[in-house]
Amino acid sequence: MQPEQALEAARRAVTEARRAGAYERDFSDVTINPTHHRVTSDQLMEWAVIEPDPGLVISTRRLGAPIAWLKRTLMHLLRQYHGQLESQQTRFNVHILARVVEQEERLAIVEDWLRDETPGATGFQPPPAHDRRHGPLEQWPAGPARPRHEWLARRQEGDEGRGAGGRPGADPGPGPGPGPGPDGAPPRRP
Amino acid sequence: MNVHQVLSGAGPVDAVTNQALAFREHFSAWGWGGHDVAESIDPRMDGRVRPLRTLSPDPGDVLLVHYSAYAPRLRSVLDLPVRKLLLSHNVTPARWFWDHEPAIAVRCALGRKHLAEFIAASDAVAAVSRYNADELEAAGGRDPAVIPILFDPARLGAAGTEREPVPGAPSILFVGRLAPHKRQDEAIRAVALLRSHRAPNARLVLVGEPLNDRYLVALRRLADEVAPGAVTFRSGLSSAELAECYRSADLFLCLSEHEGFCVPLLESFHFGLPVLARPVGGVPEVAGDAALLCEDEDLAVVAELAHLATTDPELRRALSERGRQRLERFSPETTAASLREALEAVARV
Repeated sequence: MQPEQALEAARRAVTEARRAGAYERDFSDVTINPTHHRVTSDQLMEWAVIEPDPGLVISTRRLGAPIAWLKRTLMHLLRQYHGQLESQQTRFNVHILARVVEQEERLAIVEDWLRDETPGATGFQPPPAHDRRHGPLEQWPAGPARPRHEWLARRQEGDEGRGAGGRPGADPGPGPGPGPGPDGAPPRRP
Repeated sequence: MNVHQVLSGAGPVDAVTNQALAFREHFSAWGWGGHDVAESIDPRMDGRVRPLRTLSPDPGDVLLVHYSAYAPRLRSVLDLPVRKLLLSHNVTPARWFWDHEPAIAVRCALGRKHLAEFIAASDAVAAVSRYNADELEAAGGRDPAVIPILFDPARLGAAGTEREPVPGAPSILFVGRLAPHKRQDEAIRAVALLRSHRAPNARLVLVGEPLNDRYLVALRRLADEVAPGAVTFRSGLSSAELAECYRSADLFLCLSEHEGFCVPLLESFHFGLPVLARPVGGVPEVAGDAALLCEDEDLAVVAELAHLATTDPELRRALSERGRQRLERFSPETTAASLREALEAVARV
């Protein structure tokens, strides 16, 4: 057989084998889950405002008490500089967190909208980013609805009486909650 | 002419570093001077690469900037008043890493984002494959040259004698970092299918450094579940040990979904090993007609192709012969000529 003929031959062999009952299982159900530990938004909120514990300034050497004392003295002398660092880091963390929460909120609205627009679906679970076997968005498989983040749910409950954005000064929205916008498009948040 | 090479990092097992050192040997043979510098240097480099801060080129010198990762401190070289050739080794898209190593994902995302800045500050750009060159053009590079990876088969020794696969027990090999975009998980599933339906004692050898310990554990778990006892993980191999892996394999299986070039294809061709691969990234232009390219996502087709490639003598012979012919297009002399031409063109700017 020449290399140019091999692919077609393999496809034919698979078709015939499947007709005979082979290749029923392709092991695609055995997957590699994310190996990076995901933290909750609550945990991120707790981490966002950093508060280093001065008690962690220690020395692990034998007779390290003088070294620990020296380190703490230096910490004390540098406290103004460290305060600057902490405030810069906290500012960054809080702004990042605000973006994350906002994106989660917008995603939840789109998920709701998709669930409402898809007959028989109870929600959907996006495939892993690296899984190219799934096609366009409308072909993504339906799955159980994911529980809304408690903090977001509270916020959205609060939104109902205040308008679309739920923020002070936001323009009142057209209805009590998020729903499809004009022409069936996903709703826009201010 | 003096050509200084700039790298983001230098280490003894780093592919880009070894490429730069191979370039340097050619520069010396051509009578060119210059130094190789890097932002971070592994102590095992024994002074072969100098710290970036020591770089002080003269106005007529040329900088060859190897771009392979996010390296904010390399930005300082962009302001130097000398001519620069940017050589892109391709930065893997971040989406593969968010689930497993977010810190690398961030570096990949930034690396791809900042590529345009490096392109804009360079006098000319080059890439290791046409696929990479297209990415450079999309990022604003003009007329990128293609300088393939300088592949010297002598490093791996002689090809050895041809071997016939043991019926029902072919040995399948993949060489590459154990990382999500290399899809070792798909290779494991394909071999599991091959064992289930065609070759009950087929084995898979995965050679490469893991992305991290967690990812290695996840791959091991997958292998234990779908193909228990059939998958071997190896890393930290010497050139001789790697060569032995190629010599003892019956098929090279690459189901990677992102490859800027894929040197292991050339290594397989050198050893006369039939290759079955996904036609992604730089793979089609490196493999040409010398490999079985399968875009079918159905792993059963991959398993059947692997079965054919390990049992059909005529097919094996044809692939082996075409592989050796293909290798000639990537001879060190051809690549060195491309490199010299690109550098001399920059020097004339």
